[in-house]
Amino acid sequence: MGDTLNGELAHVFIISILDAAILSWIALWWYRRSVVRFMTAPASAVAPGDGAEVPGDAAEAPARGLVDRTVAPAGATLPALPPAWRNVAAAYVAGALAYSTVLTIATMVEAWPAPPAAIASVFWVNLWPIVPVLALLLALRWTQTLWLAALFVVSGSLLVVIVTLAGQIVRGAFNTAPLTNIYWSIAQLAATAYVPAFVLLLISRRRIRAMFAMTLTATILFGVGLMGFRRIALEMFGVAALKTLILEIALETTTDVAYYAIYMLLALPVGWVVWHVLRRLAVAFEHKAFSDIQLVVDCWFAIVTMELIVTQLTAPYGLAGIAIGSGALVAYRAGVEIVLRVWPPAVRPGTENAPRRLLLLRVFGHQSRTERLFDFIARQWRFRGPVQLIAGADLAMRTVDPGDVLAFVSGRLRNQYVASADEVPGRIARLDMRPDPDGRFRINELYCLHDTWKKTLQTLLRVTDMVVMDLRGFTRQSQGCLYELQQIVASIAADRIVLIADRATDQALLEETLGRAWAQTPGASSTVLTASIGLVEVNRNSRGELGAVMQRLLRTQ
Amino acid sequence: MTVRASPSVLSRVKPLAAFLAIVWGVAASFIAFDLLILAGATRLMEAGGPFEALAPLSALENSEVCRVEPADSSSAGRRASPDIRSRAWTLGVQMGLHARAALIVAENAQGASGERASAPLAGQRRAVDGAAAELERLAAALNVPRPAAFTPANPVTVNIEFVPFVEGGENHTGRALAVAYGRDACELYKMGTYWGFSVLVRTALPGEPNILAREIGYYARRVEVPESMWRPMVARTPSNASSDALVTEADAATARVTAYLRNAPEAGAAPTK
Repeated sequence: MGDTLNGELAHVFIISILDAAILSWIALWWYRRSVVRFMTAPASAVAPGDGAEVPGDAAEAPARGLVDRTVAPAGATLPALPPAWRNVAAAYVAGALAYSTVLTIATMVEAWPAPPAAIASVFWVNLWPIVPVLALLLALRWTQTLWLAALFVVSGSLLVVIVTLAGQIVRGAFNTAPLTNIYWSIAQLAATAYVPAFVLLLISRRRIRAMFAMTLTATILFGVGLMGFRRIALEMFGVAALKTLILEIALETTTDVAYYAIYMLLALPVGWVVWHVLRRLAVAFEHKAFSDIQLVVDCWFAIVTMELIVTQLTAPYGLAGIAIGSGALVAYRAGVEIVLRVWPPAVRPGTENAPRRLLLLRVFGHQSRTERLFDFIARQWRFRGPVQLIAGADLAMRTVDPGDVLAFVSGRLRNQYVASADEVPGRIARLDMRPDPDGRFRINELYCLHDTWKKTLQTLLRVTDMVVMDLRGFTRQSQGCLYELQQIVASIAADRIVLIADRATDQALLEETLGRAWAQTPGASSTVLTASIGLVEVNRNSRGELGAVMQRLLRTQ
Repeated sequence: MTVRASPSVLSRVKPLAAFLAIVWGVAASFIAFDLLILAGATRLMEAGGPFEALAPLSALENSEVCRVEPADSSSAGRRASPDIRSRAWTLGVQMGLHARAALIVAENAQGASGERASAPLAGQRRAVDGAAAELERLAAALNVPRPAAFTPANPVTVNIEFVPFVEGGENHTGRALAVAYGRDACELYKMGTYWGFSVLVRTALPGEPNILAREIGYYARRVEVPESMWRPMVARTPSNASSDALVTEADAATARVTAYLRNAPEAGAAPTK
């Protein structure tokens, strides 16, 4: 078995990753289809848009200066790092150090005696996952990620030089080894990281990232099941009756059919195990044991470890290589957990660090541009407070979390929907307003039917601090948006509303609607304004334009 | 008093059906990838495939059986005579054939019962005994020990287990050939062993490549058997070929190599790695 173990593991891991990627696509597509089906189900009472008052010719004149128009500046400056970045970075650096320590000890025991410079080099190389992990956790931009990678290479090179020089000072003999060791360490880093880094790059696509961790868990368990099945199949040939049965099935069909038919039977208990593992994951997520991004990061570490097990650990250690890899993963997770418990990201209610609840509204039906806007805003806002939204098909692939996956797979997606107005207060009360261990707040999406979304919106506004509303393409036909505008103006202070418009937005209608809503707001003056609603022009969906939206939100929070 | 309606059969069956559909759906996708990757890897790395050189051959490359240092033998670095080379090859072919035939007979004996089965079985046993006697004769003629019997741990993994058996320390025949006649004779013996062991499977399974193609190709290159001669021995056979036609083709291939070795001019030093 030892001869074929790493080949078998490589085979299983490759299939698990490929299969998980494809299953994620299929599951997301199916999930989105189900969301569309439920949302477009016949309404029981109220038709969409009912109750929204469309301004007519005799509409009241808009209040002067109600809207503060912003055109995106050339380079909108945003905070470079999220507020709690030190805590998160410290936790994951500690996790990566623990991970690398386990792997370095395992590697060095096998290659002992090794010079200190070699130990330092191996230790540094095994730390490499920290670069993509921090980029994801801290929502770094590409340029920031490249700087981080450069910093990692420079600090590793320095470590190798210092350790090599220290050895030379002790021995009293000097040569060019400090420089050549840098070269060999970087070469070792490239050789170790290029395959898993490429895999991480492939699976880090936002479309599948949320679902991938769950599907990979499932496919790995199926893969391990397949390995176990191969062992069982070999043993089955030792039992005369089973052997005869298998051979007879093979004669009647083909050898592949006979072989895989048995696997399909044995897949059932594996499926049962997978189901329970996924349920535990979903429960842990619900109880805030980790954030969705932390789950993705854990999944990345698992992939890197799988590759290490196959390429470096099973050859010298056999089955113990799997235990060493698992031990490194446990050490990593323990390191992260300990630091986050000792030094959690600070959220102080009642101070300027208190969480701010952002409600995102939009004109439905523009998936690509809405996803980009959502990604841009949610990525940074989630370190400041929860992002709330009425769920829709346009963002279904972005907001799906482990709980949604499990509800979907178990056929309980319908239960996620607010089915009647009576359910609304309970649903709002259950919204998650606390941060996850990494300081991120959750996306609170509410699934509504045609006849429940208005009541939901009204109640949701009571637990909202700020609103950003995408009104690109807003026209007189956007009945739902007209209603939403009336409600937000009535419920939220003007300076805490940021609207997004483009050339296709009916600006006259927008100002008219805002003016009427403002005038109808109890206590509002139609002539005296203490603050204005922010309006940002976003025509190209560019980084600069979206940065201006974010800048406006941060300025007014 | 309230009467609770019991759940309908459909509502009970539905979750089970969904569970089966999801589990078998995922398992089926796994199987599809399994088949795809196995078929792809086989096609790419089989003899003549574009990635033939990538096929792992560490057991062969690290084998000590044929390694001869000048201190071990005067034959080190020397190529044996054409007669010895052809006899080493033939000994290998007979060893492989005998090992496979003995396995088939043992397998048949396990499943056979009654008089109807015992008659052909007796015939098969006689054939195996005859091959064993021939093996004995060939080994004696070369003055090397008779090849050890191959006893796999599991009947399903015989093809996998055969390689470490040939390449491991138990191969006293190969080792004796290396010491007495040089590395070249030992490697010809191994090539013959792999060919002999694979030939009965090859004639029974048309449309498949040789199950030990990489091993045969590896040693054929080392002992400088022309590629035009060994390629047909490892290539995929026509899927519509009859068993008789494949037997005839295999016999012809064996005879071609034997004749080539016997008639090849004597060379100087053996190829070194």
